[in-house]
Amino acid sequence: MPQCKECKSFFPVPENEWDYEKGAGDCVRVLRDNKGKYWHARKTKEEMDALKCTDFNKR
Amino acid sequence: MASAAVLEEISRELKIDRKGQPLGKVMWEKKIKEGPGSTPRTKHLYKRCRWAHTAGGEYVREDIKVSLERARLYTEAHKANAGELSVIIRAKCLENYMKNCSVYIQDEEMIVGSHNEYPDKLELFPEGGAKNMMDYLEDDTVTPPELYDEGVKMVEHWKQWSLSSRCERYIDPETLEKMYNPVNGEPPVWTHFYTSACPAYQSVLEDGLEKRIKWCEDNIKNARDKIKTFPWRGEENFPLFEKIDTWDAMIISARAVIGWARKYSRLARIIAENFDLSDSVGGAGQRKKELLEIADICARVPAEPARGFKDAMQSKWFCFVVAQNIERYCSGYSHLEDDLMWPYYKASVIDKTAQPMAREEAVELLECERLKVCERTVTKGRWMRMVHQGINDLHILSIGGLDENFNDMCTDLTDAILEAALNIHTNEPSIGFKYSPKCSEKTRRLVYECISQGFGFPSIKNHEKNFSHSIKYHEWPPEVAARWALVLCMAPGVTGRYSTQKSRNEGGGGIDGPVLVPLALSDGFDYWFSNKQCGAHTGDASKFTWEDLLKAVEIQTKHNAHNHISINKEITSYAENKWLESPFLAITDDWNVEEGVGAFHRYNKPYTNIWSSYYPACVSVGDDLAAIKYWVFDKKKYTMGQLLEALKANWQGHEEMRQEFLSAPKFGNDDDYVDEITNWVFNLSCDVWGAHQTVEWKKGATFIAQSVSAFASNAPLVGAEPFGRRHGEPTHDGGCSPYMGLDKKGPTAVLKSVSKLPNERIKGNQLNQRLPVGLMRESEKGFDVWSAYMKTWHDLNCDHVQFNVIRTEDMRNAQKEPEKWQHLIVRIAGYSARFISLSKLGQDAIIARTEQQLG
Repeated sequence: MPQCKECKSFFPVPENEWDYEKGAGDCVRVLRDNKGKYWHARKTKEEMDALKCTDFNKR
Repeated sequence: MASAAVLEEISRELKIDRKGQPLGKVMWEKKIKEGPGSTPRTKHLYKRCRWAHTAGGEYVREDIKVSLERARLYTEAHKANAGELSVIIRAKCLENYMKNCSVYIQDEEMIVGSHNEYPDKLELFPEGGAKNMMDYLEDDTVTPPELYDEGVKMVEHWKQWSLSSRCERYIDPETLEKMYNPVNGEPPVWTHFYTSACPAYQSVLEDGLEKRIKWCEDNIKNARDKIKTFPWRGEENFPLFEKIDTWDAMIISARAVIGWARKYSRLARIIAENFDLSDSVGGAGQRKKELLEIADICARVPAEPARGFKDAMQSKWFCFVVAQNIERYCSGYSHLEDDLMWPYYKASVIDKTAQPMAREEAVELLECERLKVCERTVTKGRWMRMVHQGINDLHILSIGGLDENFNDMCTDLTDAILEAALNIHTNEPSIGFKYSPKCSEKTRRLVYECISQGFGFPSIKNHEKNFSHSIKYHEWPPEVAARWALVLCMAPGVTGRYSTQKSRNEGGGGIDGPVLVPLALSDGFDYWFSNKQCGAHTGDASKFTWEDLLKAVEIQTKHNAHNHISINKEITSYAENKWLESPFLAITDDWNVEEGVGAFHRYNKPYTNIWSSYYPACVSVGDDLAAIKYWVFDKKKYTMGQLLEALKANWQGHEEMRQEFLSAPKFGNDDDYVDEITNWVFNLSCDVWGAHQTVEWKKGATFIAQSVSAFASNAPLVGAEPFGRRHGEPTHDGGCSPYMGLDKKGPTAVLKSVSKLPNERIKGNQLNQRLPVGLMRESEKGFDVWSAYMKTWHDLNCDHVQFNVIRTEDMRNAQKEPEKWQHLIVRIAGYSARFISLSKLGQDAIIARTEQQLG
């Protein structure tokens, strides 16, 4: 079962950050729509099940 | 006479080769040919701008959809902290949101920070109440079906905790029904959850939040020391408990905001170091450098003081996003931008001592700011969306004016702000210019050039008149009164570090002016829209004498003003302070931190700003009364009974009579017959507003006469009027603007009529004027002619004026082929809008405005 931490979009939250929690990370993806592109980050956990994630991109 | 050197300097800075032609004409043609934006970046950002305005209450772009991220995270924290003190719950809700929300950075952005899960998303505020939430959830054009059930569960959760439920309990059902009736005016704050605030940006830019957190911590320590000191002093110590809670909440909130800003820092660095940036307008290397600089800035501000212009712009934006978009939905973009940002601009652009940058770079950053404002998605209630057609919100910043010693406050930054507006051609944010003849010619010339391009802004407020009004009626010290900025369209408010306006309960909102005479003529019953008794009982108007009629108007005014100004605002104020505080907004203000009181605390507030409006304005009452007096009581050609019959028929079958009532003396023609009656109406309004002694302010409210866009959106709500208007037609479109097409004696006659009003008692009095393109944009003498007009306006102590400079032909063409006229901007009332986004009624009303011939 793939996990978030194995994905290229996963960036662990550094320990010195205010929102640090053990295993926490940012899922950062580049997204596009008819107005252009943007980089989006949302909170995730490294052991989160990524099986159903359509954006999973193994490192 | 206009200075050629000034014109040349402006042309050079705008990179315009005039070739002997009028500057306005060349700029207009350049814009049509090349599109807006002074640099490749802002050209790109303009083209892909995510316009987020509404028209007719609906979002114009179909991509704009509801997200429940904020509502979900706030609800989650509200449940998790059940039982905590309300101010702490509010801080914890913000903290939970900041910690877990999504963040994003768009391509080419130089200022980052957003309030929504994804671009184009609308975030909801369940703590406001069910009405607004359900209005969004049940609208399947904006709410994806998969979010509906979750949203409804949130509404259920908040049912007993929302602002609506906190407020409704104090009012009897009959009064509540009248307050909810839109015929009378703006519904209560708790129905649309729309408020207005001026964050004290200056303190955050100067101190940084870490210093302010330390201040709160010291206050808590001192309070605890006081508590343990023998002997006990209950009078002094008892209030400290609540203060400690409030400082605690401020600390939680400010730490959350610092942490949230650093999420942007982290993201910018991740993008710079991990993603392909080769399609950036300046190339990959340049964009990487910019992103790393953004990462550095967001790591430092708003935690630390701003060093230079980039820091200050970013820190201000973060504060705006949090205070006015996340912690609470607040309208406006209130600040005196050139004064607030000058030290940072000077350090970066003039002195080059911190974050050195070229002037062009600063102008580009100001263009980026304007575009960022245009992308702000807002979730105010439907009523507010309907009266704000063509815009996202009342985003209005202020510039110019004089200091307390009457020295010009315009700087090179004032000019850069105006140049950015000329370059990027967006309708938002609007600009309010604090006009004085002492303001520099270059600045006044740039103001003129913006107007000549048809932006409709800067709107112009008389600096000296508003300075003295603020001292006399609000008792602000001269150094505070001099630095006023518009809170919304028309209302000066306090800027700086101390005691700024925090809510609409202090200043904002209003009642419908044009409905007063129809109500007085129908015993307070509205048979045009709601079919309900919405005014006071004032008797059978068919038997009225002239004096009876005036008395009935006075009673209707008092009745509606009392419900909407006093009851609504004071109850909301009480409930917000008790249950729905904004601790982040509070920590920005020195007074709140010093005293340990919440943002919505009103007792002992040093500078108050108690005001409310007529929108649409009461100038119609003058025209209505004058027409009745002329034909019924003076000429005695018609009886009151005949008039009531004609009005009830919406003038149908009475066209000859309607034409006679239309021909009666009208305001705006320097005719004492009607001007004296209108003066009576305005003085009555000042007296009625002044009688409302709100908490801690016994001098009473001041009033503003304006229209926003309610002259069009409220047209179906206002019955037929005696001056000749039919039900459904636009009402008067300004505060003291003559009715469209009924001012027939030229611009000076308009100014003379306006000058007869008790302007010194009025906080704002909106005057719309329309000037010819040929003179303003295409003639070399335009600036001199306009300057002479402005001198007359200023000498007559008028409060406000704003101009539409646009061809009727262009507007007609835009109605036929809107896709070709997307750039067309017009002045509505207190704001400017893209013409093609207005309702047909609103468009026609602009077209019908009298085009004054100057010179």
